[in-house]
Amino acid sequence: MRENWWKVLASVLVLYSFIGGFLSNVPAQPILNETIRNLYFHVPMWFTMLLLYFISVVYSVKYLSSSNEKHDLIAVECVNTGVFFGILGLLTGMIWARYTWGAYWTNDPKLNGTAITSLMYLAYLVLRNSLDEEQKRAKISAIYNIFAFPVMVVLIGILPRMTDSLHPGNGGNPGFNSYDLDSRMRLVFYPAVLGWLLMGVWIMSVRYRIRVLENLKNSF
Amino acid sequence: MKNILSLAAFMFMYSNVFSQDIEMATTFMSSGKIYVVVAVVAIIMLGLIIYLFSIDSRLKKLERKD
Repeated sequence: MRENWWKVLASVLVLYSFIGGFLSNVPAQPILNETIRNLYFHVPMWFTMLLLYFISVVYSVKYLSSSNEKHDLIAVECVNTGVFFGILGLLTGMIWARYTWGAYWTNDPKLNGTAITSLMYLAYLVLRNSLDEEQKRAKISAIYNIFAFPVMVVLIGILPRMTDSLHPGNGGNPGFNSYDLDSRMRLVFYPAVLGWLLMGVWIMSVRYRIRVLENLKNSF
Repeated sequence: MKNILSLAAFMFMYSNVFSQDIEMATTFMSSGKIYVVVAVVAIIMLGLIIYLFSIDSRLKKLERKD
């Protein structure tokens, strides 16, 4: 966690995705026009959120067997950072929707799923705040986290694909993936995703290390 | 299979009708103004990244003290 190489890699990849995102040629699509470049920014936010929530649930499970406080701290800081990226994803998606679909929000399964997911994880944070005793807080929130994660997977990944949706990747709409993603876009998109994944983990690790130091100070 | 075929037909329709007509920011790009946007965004991003590195190094110092 203290090594620099992956942080430099994250910075380089994210910078590359910004520069390449604006300068590269993109396919001309009706309705989307130039906003297709949002792919490089809006989608990595969600991938990062997913990764952070996944790491969080892994450490929640670890905590339940180890009772090591550090595992609990990683879990909560993952959720803190994940919620932040989720909010960024929601905001960027809403702006994109306004200028392509005509409204900031539509009654769409994917959108509603992501909103409910964000509320679920905010509830995790509220739950933690309501419990004073450290071990009880860590245990109960770990159990909540283990329930919340599969619900999120269903709400974001499974339900939207089963029905009609405006959002790409669901209900007969081509997603920006596999057969449908332009190869030129892949050149910027994949580094962008990797860069932001690393960035998200970096930000989470910084928060976690601050927590550990705070706990050390408080325990004296 | 049926979905892929109907999707392909739909996309062919679109490409025939719109191939010259989809507005993209071509004048903006050719005038070189895009580089202004790139420079602004790169400066902001670089600044934030340097800030992250500085927080990280302050943390490292604190951790070393213990």
